Amino acid sequence: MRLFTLALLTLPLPALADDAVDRVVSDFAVPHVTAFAETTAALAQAAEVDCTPGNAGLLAAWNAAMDAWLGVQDLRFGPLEQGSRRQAIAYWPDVDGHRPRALSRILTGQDPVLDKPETFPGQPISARGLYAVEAMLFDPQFNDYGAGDPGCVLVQAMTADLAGSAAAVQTAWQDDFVTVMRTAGNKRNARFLDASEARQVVFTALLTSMQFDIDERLGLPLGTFDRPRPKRAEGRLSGRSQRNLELSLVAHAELARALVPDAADAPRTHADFERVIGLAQTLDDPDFSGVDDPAERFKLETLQTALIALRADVHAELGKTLDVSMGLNSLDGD
Amino acid sequence: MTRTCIMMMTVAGLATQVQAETSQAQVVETYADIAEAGYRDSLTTAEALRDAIAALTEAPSESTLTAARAAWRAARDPYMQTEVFRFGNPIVDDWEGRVNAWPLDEGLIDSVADGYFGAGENEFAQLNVIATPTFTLSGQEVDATEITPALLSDVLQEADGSEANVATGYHAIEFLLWGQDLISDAPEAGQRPWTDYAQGDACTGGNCDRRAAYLTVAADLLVDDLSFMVDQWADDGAARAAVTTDPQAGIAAMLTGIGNLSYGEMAGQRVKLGLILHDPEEEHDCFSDNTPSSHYHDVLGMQNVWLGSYTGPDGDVTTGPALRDVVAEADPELAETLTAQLADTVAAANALRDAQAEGMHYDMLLQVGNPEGEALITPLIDALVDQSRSIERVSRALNVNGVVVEGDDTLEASGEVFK
Repeated sequence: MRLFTLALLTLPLPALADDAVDRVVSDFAVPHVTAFAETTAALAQAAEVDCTPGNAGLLAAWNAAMDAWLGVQDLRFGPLEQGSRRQAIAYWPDVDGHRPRALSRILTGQDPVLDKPETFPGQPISARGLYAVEAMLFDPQFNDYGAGDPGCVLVQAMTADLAGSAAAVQTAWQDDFVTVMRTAGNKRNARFLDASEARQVVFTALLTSMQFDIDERLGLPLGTFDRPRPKRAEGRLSGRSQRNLELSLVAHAELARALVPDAADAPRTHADFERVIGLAQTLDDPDFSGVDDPAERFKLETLQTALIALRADVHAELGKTLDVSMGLNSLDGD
Repeated sequence: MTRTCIMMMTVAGLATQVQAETSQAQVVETYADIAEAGYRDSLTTAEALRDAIAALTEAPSESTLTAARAAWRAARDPYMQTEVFRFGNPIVDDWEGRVNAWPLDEGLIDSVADGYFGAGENEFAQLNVIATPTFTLSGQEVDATEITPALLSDVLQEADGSEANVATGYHAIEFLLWGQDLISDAPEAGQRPWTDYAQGDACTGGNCDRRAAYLTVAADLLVDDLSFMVDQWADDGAARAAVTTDPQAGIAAMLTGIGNLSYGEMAGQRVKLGLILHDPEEEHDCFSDNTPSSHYHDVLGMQNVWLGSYTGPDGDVTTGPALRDVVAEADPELAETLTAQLADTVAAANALRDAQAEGMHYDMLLQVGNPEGEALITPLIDALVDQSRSIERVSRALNVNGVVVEGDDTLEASGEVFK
């Protein structure tokens, strides 16, 4: 995005002190984008070694990359929002069924991309990223390919593309966006006109990610009491629905603590994150198929209700301490 | 002496404050006037569409079908300019899905091409109610032998909890006038023949009488729904009252509308997602290939609200004190920036219209491997994102917090997580 290419002008911009932003950059963003780049590179390597869905090394590598993504997803600003990077890494939900259509189109040869795997990044986001790899490895509709089949070439292309996206995000953070955030309010910084704007994007991102958990990770499979939608659960194919939610909440808590480390400044936020994470850990419902079962459903609804209240706490307590209000977010369309 | 000075200063301060408040009150008045005019023009053009559809169903021919399509396009222009009233006004949000829900599984309504999928989990993606007078929905037998407003609005719309089941509004009518657009690598829209409405042996596609009945009911419903919304913005309307009673809340509604339409809705869902999914069905007006015009009028509507001026299809101008004016008092540079950004956005959307006029239809831009798609659509996305940042800054400059929080019920959740 042209705004923060500032050329980072040969002259270093004097950094302005904003402890909250500093902590977010150093303690949260940089370590997580680094871990994500490393795990996706390892995934691409594992697919080169053995692309078949039964390969334990490949499955472990994909799980590690997914774990790392849940630490990155909260960065809803900067390099991850440039172009189609976020969607190319993690296109979910897919209620309209774009993914199976796009994969079928490629696997049946209607698109010649597998003849030139290097052009794979031009493919639809529904055929790219972590969830497309998940479909290839776990969906019975796709995971019956062997080493010499188109599915193998596709998984290798997907994982190489994913590693490329993750590396680009890491590079853009380290070479550019770290400075953009730390110089918020500098008169040559066109992205953040004052220090509060950098705090605001982080605060907004955190609240947006919490909303995503409430509405999508939990809301989609819950559906309505009369019409639960277990098939809509994230990570259903790989049995990771509960794990994804847990790790997502852990990342939100970490980001909230980076913003406001002192529990005295945000007592309910600090205490209740631990309790909500505890609720998620005790679910014992790996793929959220329990939405169909009254007792299990009750636990998921309880968690959702607790998360809604926690989000209101985060909004009130962190907003006050950081002196910002929530900005526009990408979920407010329809 | 000193005392007098202080008193005078106080009075002057009060006067400035009163003036500023009056100014905000005038701005929301203009906003409501533009909404009323926009919905009224939407209603008038929808009535013309209903009449053109009556002419088509009474005397089906190539020319009556062409006239009905032209009437649909004409009706879109004022309506799209009213989308900016979404998001900030609950009365509009509660109603909007009835007239402009999208995307849709058109197989709910009429027959579709072989190989058409529809939304992944929608069991009614191929119901084809026009060919199916009775069917079962959620365990209940539905009698659809007569196509009625209640069948469309209460039974089929969002049937089985799926938002892809869109039975009413502009896009349902669009599908019935154009049919599926099955060619996305050439400048052609849907090719539904006029004989889909011919009676007797000339009928193509089967059930021409039911198709005509469906189209007629859908057009009537659109007129009724728009008529309701005109009333909400009239002098004693509830939507007008909601923004004028408390001008500060009215200003917040204006910013929420422009901001969310720019960022979450247009830049995010509608424009960016379509581009990167490379799916021709992801164009907003996908049957008629009217999307460039649709996007253009959408962003024009944002500019109307900012500049406090709307020009209707007949050339009538509705104008008054503008949001730009109050922002210019608080932060002239910001007002100038946003004015320029909105002009850039309108220009970026207009470039799509130019491309269409030269034969590069929107669905062609969405094809895998068409670099023109990215070159033409990305500037619109970037322009929308840029202006949304200024909207956030305007909310700070005017001290209107909660531009987003308005309407986010979950943030108003009270009580603690655990007691």
